[in-house]
Amino acid sequence: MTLDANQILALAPDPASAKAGSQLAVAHQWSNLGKSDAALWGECQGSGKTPYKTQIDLNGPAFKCTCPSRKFPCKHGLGLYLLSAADPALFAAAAEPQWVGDWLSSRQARQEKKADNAAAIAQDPAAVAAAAAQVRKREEKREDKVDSGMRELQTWLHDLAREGLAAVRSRGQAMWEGIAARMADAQAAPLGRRLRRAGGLLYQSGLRDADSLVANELASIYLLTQAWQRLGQLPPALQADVRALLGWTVSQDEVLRQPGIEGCWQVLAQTTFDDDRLRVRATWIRGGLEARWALLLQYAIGTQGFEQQLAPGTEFDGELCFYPSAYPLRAQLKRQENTRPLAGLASMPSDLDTLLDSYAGALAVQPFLERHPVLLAGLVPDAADLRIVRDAGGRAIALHPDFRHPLHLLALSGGHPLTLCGEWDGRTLLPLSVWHDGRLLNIDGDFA
Amino acid sequence: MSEDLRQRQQLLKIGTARAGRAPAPLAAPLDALLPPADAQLAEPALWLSLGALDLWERSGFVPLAAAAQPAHATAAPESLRACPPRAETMLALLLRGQHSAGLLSEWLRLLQRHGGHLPARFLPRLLDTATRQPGLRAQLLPVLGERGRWLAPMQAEWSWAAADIDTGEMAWHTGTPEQRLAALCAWRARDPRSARAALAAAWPSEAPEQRAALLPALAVGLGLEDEAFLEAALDDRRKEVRVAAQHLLASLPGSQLGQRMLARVLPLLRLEKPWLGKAHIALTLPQAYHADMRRDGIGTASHPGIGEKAGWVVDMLAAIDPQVWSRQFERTPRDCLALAAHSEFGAVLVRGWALAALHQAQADASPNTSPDALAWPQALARWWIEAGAAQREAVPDMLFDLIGARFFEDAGGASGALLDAFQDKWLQDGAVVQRLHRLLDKSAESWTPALTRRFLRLLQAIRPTLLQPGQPALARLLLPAFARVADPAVAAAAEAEWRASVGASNEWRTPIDNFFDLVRLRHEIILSFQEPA
Repeated sequence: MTLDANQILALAPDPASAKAGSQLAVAHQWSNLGKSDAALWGECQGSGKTPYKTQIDLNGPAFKCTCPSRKFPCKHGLGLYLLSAADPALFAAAAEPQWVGDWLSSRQARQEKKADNAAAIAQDPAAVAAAAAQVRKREEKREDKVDSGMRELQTWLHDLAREGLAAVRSRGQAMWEGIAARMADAQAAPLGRRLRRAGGLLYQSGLRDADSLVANELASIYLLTQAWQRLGQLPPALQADVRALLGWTVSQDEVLRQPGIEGCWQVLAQTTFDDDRLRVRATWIRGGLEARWALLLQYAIGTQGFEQQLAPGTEFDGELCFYPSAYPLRAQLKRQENTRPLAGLASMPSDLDTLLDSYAGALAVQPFLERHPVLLAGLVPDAADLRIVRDAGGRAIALHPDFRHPLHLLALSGGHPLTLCGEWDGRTLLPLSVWHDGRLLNIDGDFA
Repeated sequence: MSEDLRQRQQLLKIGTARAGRAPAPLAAPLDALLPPADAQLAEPALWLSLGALDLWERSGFVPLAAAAQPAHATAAPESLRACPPRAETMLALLLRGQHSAGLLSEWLRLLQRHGGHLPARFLPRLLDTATRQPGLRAQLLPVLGERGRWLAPMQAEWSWAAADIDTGEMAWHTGTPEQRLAALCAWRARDPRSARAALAAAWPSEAPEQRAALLPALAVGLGLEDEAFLEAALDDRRKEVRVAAQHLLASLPGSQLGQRMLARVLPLLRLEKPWLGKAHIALTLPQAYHADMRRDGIGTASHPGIGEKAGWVVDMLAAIDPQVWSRQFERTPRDCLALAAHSEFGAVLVRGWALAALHQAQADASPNTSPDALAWPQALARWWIEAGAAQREAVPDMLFDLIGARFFEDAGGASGALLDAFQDKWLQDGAVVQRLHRLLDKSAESWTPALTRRFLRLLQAIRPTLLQPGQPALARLLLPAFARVADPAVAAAAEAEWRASVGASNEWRTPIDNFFDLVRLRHEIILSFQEPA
């Protein structure tokens, strides 16, 4: 099962790779092309003396190439995949050559080792005890730091409320940088980032009701400081949320040790953005028996690609493990195989009332929820007011101020209802992808 | 947002110190949430109540009920074919990359030939692009489809794409000067007669500078029906209006202005065939200058290097269809130019004919005109290539743009012959290379396979020279421009041989790589439209 050209191009780490890859998707660049049930391979003459050996594990899809590029997947991998999509006849079914077989079995071995490792640690009681003691010590130190940080932040917010936002505004961004740096010292870096962003809103031109946005964000942060001080009284799952929001991370292995959820998962929306020096890719997928939502966050440095390949508009069979939370959304991918283009939406899109109900339910168990995924049908963009869409009953739903493509929505709809996937924050909808004419268009990428 | 939340946000803005008060207690049932200790202090109470109210509102969001709104019409179903999926992928790639606008217009042309319409998701981007680059509009309009025409009126900047006739007439009556000119041009393209009538009706009340700005719109769909109106404009009090009318009439085949000019110039020219020496054209300069000559535009333009009276002759010749002279002297355009070469006033004749050829070509913008129309421009171009530097000034550069635009037709093998003429000189003469570049650059369509093969052969013949360090202009100017017009299949077939001749370390590796990359990309674009939809 292979992807179509659009979905393959979505795997590219950057536009330059997409362009280079598509230029390599011509037969005369390649020799020794072949395929098996599990893999594709070929050799591409680059600028070096020996041709690069490029191979693709179709299950993943996963790429490997002997070229020195640090981009991942590299242009040769993309080119090979595109060529197989454009001209499958070039690839004769054959036995895997040794270099392909070796790689496939090493991948297999690594996956098994991952599982073994987790099991091994869990089984050795002495190691478990020693590790636990060390962790506890570090933990106590960190909790002390966070404690004092939260007290300081509360005092800072009290001062802010006393002086007033209007008076504080004239002091410039430095004040916000100061408290953000203080939060980083207190090992509560995510709070620092939120404070810096909130401060930035005050100085952003052209933003309507910035004051109101800042007030709500700071109030939510204040609630978080209080939640930390009463952490023991909270349900355990919500404790995990509060800790995550303050910067505690749960290791990938730990998440993967949780029991997973099996099913067919559909990749419905994806955004890529910069956060400090990291590139973050947020992918919303949905599947399993209960049509659960999951958010996969991937990080990459510079122009390197992301480790797992998730193209919007595809689906795969696999297993997901969720991070502990009162309203679990964030997850890790434990197993991904048989990736293929999306044939149709597995779960019915909801209407506005159902969305509002489930959102209220979510806030009730996890009041710090930042974004809630939605798949809404029957939405018509309003030709007269580009900032809203209307549901089947004509009710107005405001679009998020960051949404930059209202005209694209209008063009796709032509006045007819659309099905949108996006995020709901309680007041506005941020569309991320559109299900249109039997295919998924991801706004970040497909809307030129 | 509730009044309560708004008031609390207001309090936060002012600050509790300045406001001198604590926030009001929360209303039931939220009042029970605040811990009593915190409720006493103004600042914690403010933050907690802000947080609680925000959550309260977000979890109980009630969308605004439908206001009575005018239902917008939905877009009609498309009558054109859908764009092939691979072509759609290619377009996405073109828009993502740094490729030149030339490829975009080629893609749009191919879609039109396919009989397809643009996929809806690209409409906003391409409408924006064509708003900034009006040159793309002619290619975009035929592939907008129902959806595009439905979308265009939604943005004021896209009004040029709105097919709505009412909108056009509205812009004509109430728009800004630029909008009125655009509306008039569009109207002329739709219905020349009624557009002229509208202009004539508004004419007396237009300000003089408006008249001068609007009159050139008649160039769209210009015909003999417009003559009476233009003749009247020759007597306008504003000079710019008169000049615009003179230009239009001069480029109108069969106009009375042309007849008058011919009547003036014929007595002055005489074909002489002496027993000794070569045949040539003898010119008697006009002596008197009359008011009716001024009215027809004689003596208004300046011609550097040509005397005043000779300049009048240039102006006369410029308003006469040059094909008249082929008939008058019973010679091909090339032979007419040879006659001029042996004449005392050769520069005057060539300049006049060149301007006339430009006028004619501008008037026949429609592609269905006879191949003869290009005979004079082609002959002038060959004359230019063979002429010395001083003589060349008689032929304006624009002539090469006009030839370039229709070069791909290769009518009667003329384009191929012109290429050969270029090749004779291009190694020695940088100016020749620049004109050839201009010709390549302005090509409206891909060249035919035969023409492409011919040019490749010419390049191949000088390849050893081309690849030497001394000839950078030739390769740097010509290869990128040629990559954009060459027939991609033919050019791509030459790749292996060219690459082999370049070798690995040659400094020309990059231009050659770029050339074949672009050719291959164009080849792929063409193929992407050919697969079964």
